[in-house]
Amino acid sequence: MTTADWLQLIAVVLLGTIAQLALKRALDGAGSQLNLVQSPWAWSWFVSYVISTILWLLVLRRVPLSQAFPILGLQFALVPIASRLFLREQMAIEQWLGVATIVAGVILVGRG
Amino acid sequence: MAIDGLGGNLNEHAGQGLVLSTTRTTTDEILSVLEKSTEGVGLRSTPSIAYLHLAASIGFGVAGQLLMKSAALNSAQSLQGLVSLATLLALGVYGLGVVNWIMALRSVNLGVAYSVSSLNYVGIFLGSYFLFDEAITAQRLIGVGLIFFGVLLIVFRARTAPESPR
Repeated sequence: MTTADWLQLIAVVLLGTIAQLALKRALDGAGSQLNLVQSPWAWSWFVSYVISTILWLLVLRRVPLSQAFPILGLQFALVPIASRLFLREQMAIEQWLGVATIVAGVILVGRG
Repeated sequence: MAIDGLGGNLNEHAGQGLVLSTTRTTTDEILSVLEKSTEGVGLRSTPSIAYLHLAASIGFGVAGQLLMKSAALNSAQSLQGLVSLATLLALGVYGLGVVNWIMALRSVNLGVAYSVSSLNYVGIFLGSYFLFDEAITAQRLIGVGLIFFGVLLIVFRARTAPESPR
């Protein structure tokens, strides 16, 4: 995988995480369906999701699926990290271990 | 492409099985985002049907990814080239996987659901090997094992973590 492939895959994962966080905010604040349509969070979710999907399809033109798909697992590592950064939630030692294990696995998959 | 349907909240399943968690963490709440979108729509299923949803979520999810790979490979080298019937079909099949995953998580124990979802990797590897002639190297296999183990560490911990100060 080239540096460009890596960057594009990381962008897919980041946008996917942003989409999830935005959807959470949108659903939390929504009292009705009209609220949801007018919510900037809902639109953030939609836009992130669409861009992330397009980027994913572009990655798949070049990167083998058996490499690209496992790397999407990085998103599981980003949720607790985002919770810590933006919501000041503490991370348990098992979660740090989980993040480190996922990153190690992703590097292995990406290299070979 | 996001990994979808990170749903589920054990607190809501009290009385249906093992309850690991006494408090909700933010990670919990983020993981349950998509589940909320089906509330009030009458999509809650009985436990036995939930396992069919789990199987369907893996089947549709793997098929959707394989179809996306195929659509991407066969598309013209432009952005507009991605807009095709093949892409639409792939996204539709993938979407069915997401819906089934959300419905499965409403009744299936989370630890079970995420453990079974490792079959996604098996399906993707088999499909990549037989349909797209990709090499399944030892590095990829070990890497996937590590990723799966890491995901389980995070998922299980999210259900048992004590409430932390905000």
